[in-house]
Amino acid sequence: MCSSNNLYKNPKPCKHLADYKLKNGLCGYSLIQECFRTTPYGRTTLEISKSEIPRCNICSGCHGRFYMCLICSSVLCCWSPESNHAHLHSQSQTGHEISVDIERAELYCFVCCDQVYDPDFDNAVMCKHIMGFSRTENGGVESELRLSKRRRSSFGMDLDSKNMKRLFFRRDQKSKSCFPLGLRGLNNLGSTCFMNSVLQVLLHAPPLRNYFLSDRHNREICRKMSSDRLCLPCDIDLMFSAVFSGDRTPYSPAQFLYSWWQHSENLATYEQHDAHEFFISMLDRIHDKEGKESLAPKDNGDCQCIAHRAFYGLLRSDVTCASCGFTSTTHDPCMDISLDLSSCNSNPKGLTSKSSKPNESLGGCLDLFTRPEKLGSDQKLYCENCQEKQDTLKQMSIKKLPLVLCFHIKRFEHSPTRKMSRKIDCHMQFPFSLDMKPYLASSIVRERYGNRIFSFDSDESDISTQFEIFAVVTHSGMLESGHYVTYLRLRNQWYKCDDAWITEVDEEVVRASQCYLMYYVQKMLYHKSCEDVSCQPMSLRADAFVPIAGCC
Amino acid sequence: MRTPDLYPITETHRPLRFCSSAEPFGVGVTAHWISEARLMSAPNEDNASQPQLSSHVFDELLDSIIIDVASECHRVAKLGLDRNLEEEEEEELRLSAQARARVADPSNNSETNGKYIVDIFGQTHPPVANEIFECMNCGRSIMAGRFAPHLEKCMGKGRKARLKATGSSTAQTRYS
Repeated sequence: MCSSNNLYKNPKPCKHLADYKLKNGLCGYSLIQECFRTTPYGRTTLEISKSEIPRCNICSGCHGRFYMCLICSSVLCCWSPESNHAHLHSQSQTGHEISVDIERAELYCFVCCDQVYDPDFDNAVMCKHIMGFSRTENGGVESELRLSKRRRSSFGMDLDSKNMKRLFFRRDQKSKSCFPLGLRGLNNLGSTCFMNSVLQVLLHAPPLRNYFLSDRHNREICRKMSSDRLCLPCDIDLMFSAVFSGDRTPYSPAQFLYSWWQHSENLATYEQHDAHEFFISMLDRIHDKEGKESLAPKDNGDCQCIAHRAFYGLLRSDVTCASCGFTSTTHDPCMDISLDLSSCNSNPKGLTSKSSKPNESLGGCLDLFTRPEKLGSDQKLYCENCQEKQDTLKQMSIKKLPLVLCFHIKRFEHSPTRKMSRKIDCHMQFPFSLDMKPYLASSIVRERYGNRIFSFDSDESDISTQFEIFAVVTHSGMLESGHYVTYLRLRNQWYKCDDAWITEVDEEVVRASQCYLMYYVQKMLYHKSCEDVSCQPMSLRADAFVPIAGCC
Repeated sequence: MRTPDLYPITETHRPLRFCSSAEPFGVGVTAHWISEARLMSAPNEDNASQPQLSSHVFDELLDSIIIDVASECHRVAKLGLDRNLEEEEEEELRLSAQARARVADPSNNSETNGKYIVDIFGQTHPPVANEIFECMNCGRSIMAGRFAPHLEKCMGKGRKARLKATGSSTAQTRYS
């Protein structure tokens, strides 16, 4: 079910390394550990002498690449095929096959002529990194480098559709030829395409759909229990009932609009709004109502309202001192990830480059998002270790992945200095299947230290990193007067939801579209939900549900 | 005798993130090397060997960087951290480019932009939604497509409604 437990595979040692380990164990590594020198950027080198540059034992030269033999600690050079004293040494002395590249602190076997890897050696390297900060209280680096304790967290299995199936659905033989349930157009009530596009996403986000269709928010009970007449989740529930009723004529989300406007003062105007803004506002409103009434939060303090259970993730921000390497880490909650397009990173003076624009992709934007960024010298931060202001590096990564991952592409650029806004129209490629592994905190931090074999505290192996896309919200037109359209992926078929018009489209159309919001769901939930939507509804409640024999 | 082989550097479509440009590179060692080399060369040969010296330094630096990158890539490959990135990405990019080409081709475009298309359920709809229902605020019958502007005034929200409520002439001139 989950991805492999290790984020890397332990490479098999070569015969010579294995022999070395058998004979010498770890004592060679511990001795050499004193010579390790670490830089704030995660690099490790070997420093043989503080005052002199390294010289070869055989030729006293200082050219080429240097290796230190693990057995006799002699330093040897390798300059050219003709002048390779390190290799000579390994041949002339038996047992002296393994050495360390002093520039990078990597093991090298001169018989295999290949770089080799040993978790114990990497462990020694990492311990050196940790030891550098042992005198500080704030375990910025320490805490992340502790051996991991696997924490089991409930995976949201209660959000799956088992309950829903029992109450509402039975398999229908003819279901394959029918259109998926819940596919229904939404009438535009007057510049409300921004709202319709996001509603279509929420109506088909597996955790939300399962939650509302399982009657987890019961309108009657809510009315009795709450003195507050206003309840956005109730209106959402009403909408779910209507949209999944089997009626295929376009639905007017008027009650919902009325309810939402009563909740959100500032957004209650008849004009075009930003779909992303609306999405966040919706989640806030759901949380406001449900968060208070939900069962006691679990041990880890996470809110259990449906908005959080579906979308809540955790971002990790590392701020590293460029001078001493001391890292301080903070975690910030996020309900979505806003990504910059790389083309807007150029030219501080605002000159548009006439050269060809690079091809934008989601992977590229995520790389940009998790790239170590050197903060300007006007943004020096106080380092606890150095006790003064220093240049800093900042790096973002993902600590906890949500069930549903929303990417927001920042296409609307607002320039406060020039008092104008513009829309960035460039196309962005995005995959239908996404693996978030390289952007996890564990991968990013590990990479920062040169991908050493080491267990980090932030290793998360109980949540899968595989995602499948299920909805794309696109924007076409100008900043002020554009149009939002949602593409939904149900049972591996893409549907275009353009207000009241639902049409089938090829996946090519979706790939070529200009994405603005992209919604990915954990792969397992996606595949389960593909099964669910092929069923027919069966009414158990007196009201809205109308059983239908066939829907085509 | 063999030098450590230079491992093939895997080509990826994304720039390698490994060599952070923020990191000062091997310059310390080279600086030492230059001072040592100067001491070793005879004084009257200084001017003659200057370009040679620069060339050597450059070569040394370049070698150092190349092996560094190769070593990083080797580790990534051996530890299984590269995950067939190349193949997946190439496939995705190819599909994306293909899609854009097909969609851009006018002869392929069967989609009509007009609002008189038939949806998958066989229905057509007018450009402005004409379902009629009751406004939950005032009780009047409103057409769906005009519901939002009506509701705005009805609830007293929004710019125009607020202006009407205040009735202030200064407010009007400011916003007009």
